[in-house]
Amino acid sequence: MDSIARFEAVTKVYDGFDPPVTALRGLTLNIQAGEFVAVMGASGSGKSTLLNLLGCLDRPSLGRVLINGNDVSGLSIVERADLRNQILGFIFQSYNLVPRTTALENVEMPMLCRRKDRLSGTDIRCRARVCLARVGLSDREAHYSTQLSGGQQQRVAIARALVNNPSLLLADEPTGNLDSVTALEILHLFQQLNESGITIVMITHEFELARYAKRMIVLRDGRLRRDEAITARGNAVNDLTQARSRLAAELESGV
Amino acid sequence: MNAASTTRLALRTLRRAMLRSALSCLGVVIGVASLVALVSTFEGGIAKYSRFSDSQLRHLAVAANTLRKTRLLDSENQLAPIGERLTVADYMAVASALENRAITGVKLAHNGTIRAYGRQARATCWGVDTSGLVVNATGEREVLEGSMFGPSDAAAAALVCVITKSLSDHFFPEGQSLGRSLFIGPVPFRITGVVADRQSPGAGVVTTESAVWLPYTSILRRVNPSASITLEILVDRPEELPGIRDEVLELLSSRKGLRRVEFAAINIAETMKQMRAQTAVVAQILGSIAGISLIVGGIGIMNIMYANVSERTREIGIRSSFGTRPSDLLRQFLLEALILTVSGGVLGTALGLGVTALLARIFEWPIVLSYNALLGGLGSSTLVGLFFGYYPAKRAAMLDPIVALRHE
Repeated sequence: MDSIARFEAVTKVYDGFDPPVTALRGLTLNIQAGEFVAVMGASGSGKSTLLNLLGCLDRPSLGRVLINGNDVSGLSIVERADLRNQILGFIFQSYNLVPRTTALENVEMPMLCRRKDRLSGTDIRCRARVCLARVGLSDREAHYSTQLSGGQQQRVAIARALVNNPSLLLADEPTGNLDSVTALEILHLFQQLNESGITIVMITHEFELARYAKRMIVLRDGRLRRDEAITARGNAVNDLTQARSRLAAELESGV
Repeated sequence: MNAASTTRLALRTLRRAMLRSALSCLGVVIGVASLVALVSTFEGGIAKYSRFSDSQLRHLAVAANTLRKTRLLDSENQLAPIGERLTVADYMAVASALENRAITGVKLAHNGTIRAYGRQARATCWGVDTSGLVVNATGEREVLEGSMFGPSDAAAAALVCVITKSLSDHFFPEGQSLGRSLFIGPVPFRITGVVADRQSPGAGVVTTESAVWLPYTSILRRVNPSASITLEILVDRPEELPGIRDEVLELLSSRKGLRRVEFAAINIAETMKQMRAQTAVVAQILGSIAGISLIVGGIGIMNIMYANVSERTREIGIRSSFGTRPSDLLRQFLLEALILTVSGGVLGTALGLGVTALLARIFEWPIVLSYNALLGGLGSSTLVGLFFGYYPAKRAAMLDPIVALRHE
């Protein structure tokens, strides 16, 4: 299997503080294409820094970060922007849809800043529609973010992250603001996407959700504490069906 | 991002905050409007006084420069010949020198009191010969009654005259002025014709003009022997004017033993052109005052764009995380500022032209489409957009996506 992201003794120090904050300490990590990695750890353990480095939003202080074989440290701001556009997709805890913009326009956005293989206006619209359909939101194209539920907003965000056919999807607590059933819906979607070949790295606080991934990483103080394959892997479809029927029964019985 | 989608996005963003966009470009609208209105009104005013008839372009007035003499007297502290003036002999010499190439006439002025039938009036008495009538503005006037006097009247120093309509109305309210006499001093002059008053180049108010035209010989012999003579020369084509002016000045200075600067040779069109060049400076000063309001408008744009950038910090973060380049962000915000100022510029230009048209109507000036004003208005609004939009756009482009994404 090809390596899609590789950390070689990565240290990240934030100099703007007194004393400087060391977020990652000599982290070495390899993520292969097709993996679904759950990253866990307490606050301040370095999860977000890891994700920022994976997302080419930042550069390491020491060591090397290779994304798809490119050493991020050697890339300029523009090259990193292009790399994000071509091979990465971001999903945030707070959805981060562009306000006062429709679902469809949000999904079109990453295609508008493409440099390679530019698409025509019609193709862009067409592809955005396909992606919205993929997350089950065909009927919400013209809705603004304020007119969508949290789960729907997150699904628009996922459609937006998918639209440029990324090889790596980065999700920062994607279900943090969602109820348990909706969270399962999102994870079901993630499992489907992973099946179709997209590599996913997902930060989460909950072990319950991490079990839907294939591999789990635990960070503490910027170091790797655990890195193991998930043995008793959850099946989001089954759990979702169960959760839904349980919820329906509870509503029926009036509990 | 390509130009079309950048523009679409900018327009969409601005449309969403319509009121704010409109208010923020108001400063530019007012700045450009005042710039356009000031400059084109000014140019309209100048154009009004720069319309020359064909005969004005071909006309040259030559006189002994008495003003210059006074100045020479002061500066060199010596007595200059006073009372040196052109004579009928000079006139004849110039006329024969220019024969077949230009019409040469003479004009002399006498200000005096005119009396007739128990009434009196102050009037300018112009001594002319027939050709003088042609080169004089009377040539373009409508003869209302009777006719002009002819060359034979000038030769004979006949006691005849032509008067303006208002003077005729003053002396003969009941009409019937032809054939009656006016007294200039003790000398009676028979009225042979009445001409229309000249419309004063002002605000369209009908002005009265009290003027009398007599044979110049009659003035010299009977009214005022020391009246100073002006030569009136009408050349065939305007481009011959400089050559003939040189020739006449050369001839006169050798005849009188005076330097050329002792004579004035004036063409009204040239004089107005020189004045125009001087007044252009005034237009520039007015324009720069309007420019200040444009700068104030630009600061307003800058302010709103900074507010825009900080309001949309998170959006900027989202866009960069999906691969929008800093240069795309810069272009995006710069374009928004440009759309604001340029549409402000277009609106302001329209408003300024409206004001110009209104003023032109009030002052009865021609409406001049001043290309300077149009270019200046649109050009400066573009420059204002580029200049004042650049810093906010630069700030947007330089934002760290990680920080921008965390922005509340």
